[in-house]
Amino acid sequence: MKEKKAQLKIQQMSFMLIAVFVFFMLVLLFYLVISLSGLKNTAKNLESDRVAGMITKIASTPELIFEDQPYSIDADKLMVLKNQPNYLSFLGINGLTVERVYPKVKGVECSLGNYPECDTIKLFTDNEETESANEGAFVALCRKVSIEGRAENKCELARLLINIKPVGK
Amino acid sequence: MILKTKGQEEMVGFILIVVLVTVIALVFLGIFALKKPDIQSRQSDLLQSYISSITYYTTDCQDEQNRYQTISDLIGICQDNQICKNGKNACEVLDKTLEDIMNQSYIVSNYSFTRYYNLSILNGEGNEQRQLIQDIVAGNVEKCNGPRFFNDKTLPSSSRDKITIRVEICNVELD
Repeated sequence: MKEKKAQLKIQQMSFMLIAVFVFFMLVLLFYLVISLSGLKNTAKNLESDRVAGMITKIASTPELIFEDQPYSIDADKLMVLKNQPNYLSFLGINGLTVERVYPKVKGVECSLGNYPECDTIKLFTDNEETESANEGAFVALCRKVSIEGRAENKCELARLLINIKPVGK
Repeated sequence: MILKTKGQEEMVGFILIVVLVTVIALVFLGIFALKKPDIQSRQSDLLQSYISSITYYTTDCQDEQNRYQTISDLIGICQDNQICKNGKNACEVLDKTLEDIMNQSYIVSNYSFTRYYNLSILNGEGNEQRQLIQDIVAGNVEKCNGPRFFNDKTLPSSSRDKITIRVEICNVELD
């Protein structure tokens, strides 16, 4: 009789252990699912931070900046760079787009033929565009214009988008 | 009797373990599942670039030397209550230009990402700050349940009162 009781106790204990083990496993699984979904968001945020940092860096490079004004890009320099693919590796990006926000004309892409009567200047954007992340910041898109025989600055509002290869690809 | 008490003790022990583990799981859930992505600073950076960029915008207002004025210059002319060469009041030109820029930059509707914006230009410092022009507002801040972001920029001026440009936007909450 005593032996049977002991067996029953051991059985109870093992059931208890299995139940607690299964419970902890479920909790662990639950935690992993949640933390992995958060990981995706964290990676996305880090990517956006990296792009935001690169935009600030790119906008202030001597090759693009307009008269040392922060957040100002020289439209004429951009047009010159259109035919200089060597700058692609120098800037460390896949592509760069500057879209005029205000005043808007017709969404026309700039070429040497229609500049400055256009809205979007694209540089090196053919390279692996589909695999890249697009992020942006506002900039002043400036150029020199001739008014009554003298050179003056003309700045418009634009959005600078860069196209970079995501980390790990 | 003794056997029954022991069984009850075990049940209480088991329930205690379950409660303890549930509490720990809920704490983890609270920390990881309810944590919002940190987009606050990035949105504020975007607004900083926006405010800086609009101050360089070249307006239609010309001074006596026929030079076109930037928004930054126009704010100074407006502070002095002067007029542009074409006879228009500098403050009116400033107001109209900024309204157009904001309209083009942020689309506000019941279906858009941005549900509210407010651009204000404040003259002076501290408690003596007053509006230079009417605030440029679109949307209803009460109806926007998403996060609100703002940033401001103070324009340096030696001869006039300090000017602060402040932009606030409210975006719709994304899942």
